[in-house]
Amino acid sequence: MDNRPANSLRRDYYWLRLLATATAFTLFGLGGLALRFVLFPPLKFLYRDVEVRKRKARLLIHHAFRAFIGFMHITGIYTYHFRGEERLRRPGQLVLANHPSLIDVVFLISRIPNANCIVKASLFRNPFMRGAVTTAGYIPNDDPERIIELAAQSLQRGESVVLFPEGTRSVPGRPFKFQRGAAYMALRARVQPTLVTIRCNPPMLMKNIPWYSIPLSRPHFQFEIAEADNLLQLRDTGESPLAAREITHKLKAFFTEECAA
Amino acid sequence: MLNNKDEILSELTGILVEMFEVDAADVSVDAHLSDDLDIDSIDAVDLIVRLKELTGKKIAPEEFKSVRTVGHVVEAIQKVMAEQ
Repeated sequence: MDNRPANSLRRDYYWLRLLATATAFTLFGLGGLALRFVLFPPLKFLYRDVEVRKRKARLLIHHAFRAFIGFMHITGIYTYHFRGEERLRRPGQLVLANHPSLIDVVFLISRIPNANCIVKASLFRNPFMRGAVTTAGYIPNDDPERIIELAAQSLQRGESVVLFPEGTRSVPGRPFKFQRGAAYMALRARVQPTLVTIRCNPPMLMKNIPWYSIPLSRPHFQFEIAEADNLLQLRDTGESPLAAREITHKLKAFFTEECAA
Repeated sequence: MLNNKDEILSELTGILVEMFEVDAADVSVDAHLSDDLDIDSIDAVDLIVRLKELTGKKIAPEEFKSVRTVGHVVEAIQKVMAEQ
């Protein structure tokens, strides 16, 4: 019979991790404001061309996120490992990932220099995030048909597009529910998606869990990058509801199997 | 051929089966497009295009905004057919 106090179940410098997590959240907000009010305004004068400015803004965000991921790592919030990370650096990738935690997108953009992404439309009204999402020209998730069109154009310009086909963070233990937007983007832009399986154990920053409920032991994030070449036959497939269904079905099967492993 | 609700429903059922591979048995006037038939807003755009071919009439996407069930689609078709 284990009669130790519940406190000793909190391992891996629990309280320090909690403090670091609070600091990280504060830094993220301050970083958003710094980008908006300090780093982005000069871009307007330096780069007249909107497309060039967007690219520079994305590069800045990429470096900021890389530093932020490093900060959370050295402060012991998590450990992490990327397998096949160099594939993410190639231009024009449609990056599809499952979505276990709040910081998945931060991890992914920290590895992709020119990343466009589909973000919650409400972030365009969030004072901390507004500067970044508008200057970088990210795509708001309000109108499905427009998202697909803008993402396809973005891919054709050689930008990478990051998308979580579930549309929102996964609920642990429940089967994946994939939306078909990702399939339509792949069909319209005629690109083979790059698939990223994200595993986080024990889970952290899940849906419906407040930030201060951190796991009892230190989480490990694992990112596995795979090509969809063998999975999806896009070459001669036109855009149709049936093709989109078939691709979505295969994506779901892929991620379900990967995450069960 | 699109004179009454039953004819419209059977025509529509055929289209839904052909376009989205739904099970014909699941299609009824009460069937919910997204919950029961897994037809999303992108599918709806394609469906509007197909219905235009069927009816030969323009269907405004706004007409489709409030559409939730198969019954609503049938009514929308009936409405445009009545407009001469």
